[in-house]
Amino acid sequence: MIDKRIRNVLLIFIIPALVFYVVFWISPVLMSFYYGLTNWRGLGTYDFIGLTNYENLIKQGTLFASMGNTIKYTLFVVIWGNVQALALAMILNMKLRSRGIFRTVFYIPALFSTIVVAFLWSYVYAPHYGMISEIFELLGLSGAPNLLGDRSTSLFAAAFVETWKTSGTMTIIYLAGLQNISDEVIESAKIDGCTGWQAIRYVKIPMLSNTITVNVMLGLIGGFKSFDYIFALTSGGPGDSSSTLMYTIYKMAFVEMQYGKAEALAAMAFVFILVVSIAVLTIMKRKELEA
Amino acid sequence: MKKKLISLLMTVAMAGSVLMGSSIVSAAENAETETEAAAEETEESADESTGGGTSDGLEDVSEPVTLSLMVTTRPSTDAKDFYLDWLPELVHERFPNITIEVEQLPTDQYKQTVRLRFASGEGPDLFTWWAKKQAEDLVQAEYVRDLSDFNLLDKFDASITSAYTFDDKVYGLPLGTSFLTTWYNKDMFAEVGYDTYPTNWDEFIDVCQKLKDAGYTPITCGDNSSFVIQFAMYQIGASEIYAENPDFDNQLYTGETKFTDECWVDTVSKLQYLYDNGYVVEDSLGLSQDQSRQLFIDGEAAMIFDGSFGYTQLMNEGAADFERGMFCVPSNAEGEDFVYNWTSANALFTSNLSDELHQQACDLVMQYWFDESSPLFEAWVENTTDIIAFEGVSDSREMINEYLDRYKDFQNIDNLNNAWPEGVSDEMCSRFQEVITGDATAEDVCEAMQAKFEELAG
Repeated sequence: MIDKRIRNVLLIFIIPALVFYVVFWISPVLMSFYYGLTNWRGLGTYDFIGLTNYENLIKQGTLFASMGNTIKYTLFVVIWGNVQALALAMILNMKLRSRGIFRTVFYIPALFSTIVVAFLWSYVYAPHYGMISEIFELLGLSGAPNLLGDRSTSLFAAAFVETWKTSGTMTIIYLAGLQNISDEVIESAKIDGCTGWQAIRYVKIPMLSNTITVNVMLGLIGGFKSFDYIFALTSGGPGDSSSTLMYTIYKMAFVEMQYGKAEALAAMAFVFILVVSIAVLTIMKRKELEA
Repeated sequence: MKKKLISLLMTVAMAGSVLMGSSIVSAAENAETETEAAAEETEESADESTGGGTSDGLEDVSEPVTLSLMVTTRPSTDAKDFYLDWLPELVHERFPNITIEVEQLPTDQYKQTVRLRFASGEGPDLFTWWAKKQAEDLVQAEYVRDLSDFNLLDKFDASITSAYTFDDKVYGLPLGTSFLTTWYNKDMFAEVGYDTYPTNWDEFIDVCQKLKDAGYTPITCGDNSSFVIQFAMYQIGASEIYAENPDFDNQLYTGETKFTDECWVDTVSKLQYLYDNGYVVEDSLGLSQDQSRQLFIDGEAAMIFDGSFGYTQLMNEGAADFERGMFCVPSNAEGEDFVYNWTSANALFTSNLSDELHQQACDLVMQYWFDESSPLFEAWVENTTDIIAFEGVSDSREMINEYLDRYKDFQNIDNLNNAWPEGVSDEMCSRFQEVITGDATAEDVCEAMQAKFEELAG
């Protein structure tokens, strides 16, 4: 046990960091809740307008539309991102020739900046000049999909780019998890009569539960704060079909100059993300224990 | 228990990072109050120092000073850029005590950065900004200096300077003008029997149909970059709305007119007509502005809605070699009045929050910049992409001069959004994207614009 006096001295050393944290993190968050109750436009004076901003966000449908898009985006990123990364990790964990080269190649997307990735993919998706439409043309097919220009696909097209960019990182994490499963465990499963799929379903995946939690949480965070690919690829469109919470907050504050309203939406986004994150983390932890 | 409390605090703080973007808000407001006093102190001396003569007899400031200049990002070329290269170099050469640090940002980020810097008391000493409603909040917050006493002010085109005039005080020195226009492929037009540009809506539709029948794509539009929707809408709206009522925008604020009025519904309907009849490139919502421009210069489409600001990109050589022309979409019926778009591009503003020394330095820079005999003026005239509205200076681009000369006897109108609160034009573009996908009507667009206008102007 640390002596009480020493512990008190140590606590004093924490104070500067704590002050920094409170001034630059906690108080702005609390202040933002306050500004959400005003009609501040970024410049000049403002009035206290109570819950009008919250009321308008609900009445105008902005809250639910952007929240719905965020949920869809997040689900895609979490589900497809993890399936893709887990599959890649299992392939890269096999005893392949040139395995090192493959591992390097699949990690490359993670090295590009977001804006470069978005620019590249804008040309992949582009009708007329794009890679997808060129492939269709080469195959003699007509009707290449206009993924960014279609209301039903633009959100997922942007989310797919996010999973492409993060696939390397998630794969590495899964790979590390797979390498922690000893060969003896797999060997004994096989002796007990496990087929390849059964070994994955009943041995490997349960033993990866910690890793899955990490990757699910990474996907969840990436999905909830989805902004950059939406900004660069769709600008929230067509219409508002791909406007996520973060993009809507950005547009409201910095395009329409409705800082007060944007703060109100940010406050609601904060509560929503906090509740969902805690719920998912709790469920995942329980699953880990069961596994 | 304490550990739990600390953990809880940490959790809240971590999750709170979502809202960190708003942290500027509180800091900004405190700083705003502090800088008001400083601004008041320097206002008097600033008003005195904007006078003067040509730059020959000007003396350098008494001690070294660094001025911050902010401009929006423009297309880069191999040549030296006026703002990034010529301006800092030539000013420093003439006034060794003055150093200019230039920062450029894309338009959206630029707007928010300039505003937030002013709100935090650290606005740029010199910066470029837009006209009318877009500059109004900066003027009302007293962030920008009154330049009414600037002695070279009468050299600028008075009709353009008026876009920066509030309560009879001039706050910006116009750096030029631009216009929204329709670039067209003269060779394709000639092929379908049009040796000249259309002068009314029926002729315009006729040429579109003939081009379509001949197997060409009449118009390309990069609607994925939603702001380009404005390029067509404002050209159509010019005649449709303002020929009969030039005061339409002012009346929006008094409630005498509304976006839901027939003239606006007709404007949106006419643009919709072009999409519904297959005159606009297929899948335009998947095309960016750059990709659309490429289609035009490659000869894949006969027309593109763009502007004089697209001159460099649209004059580039593509896969096809053809002669270019420009016209403003004539939405008027035959025999009815035609109105075209010609607008102030932007202007040079100076900060009211800078200290006396910085304001003196800004005055020297402006005197030097707009002195017709100075090398800086020469560099500006040679390198700007805008159409300069300064006495005795004409544009070197033949196409631009021919265009303005052709339409000079007609009424002209600014970019329509110059008269609206920020955000209305974005609403228009977003909703019109839904018209393209078939999920909304022209009336829906107008209603959404009116609702947004009432929300933002109220």
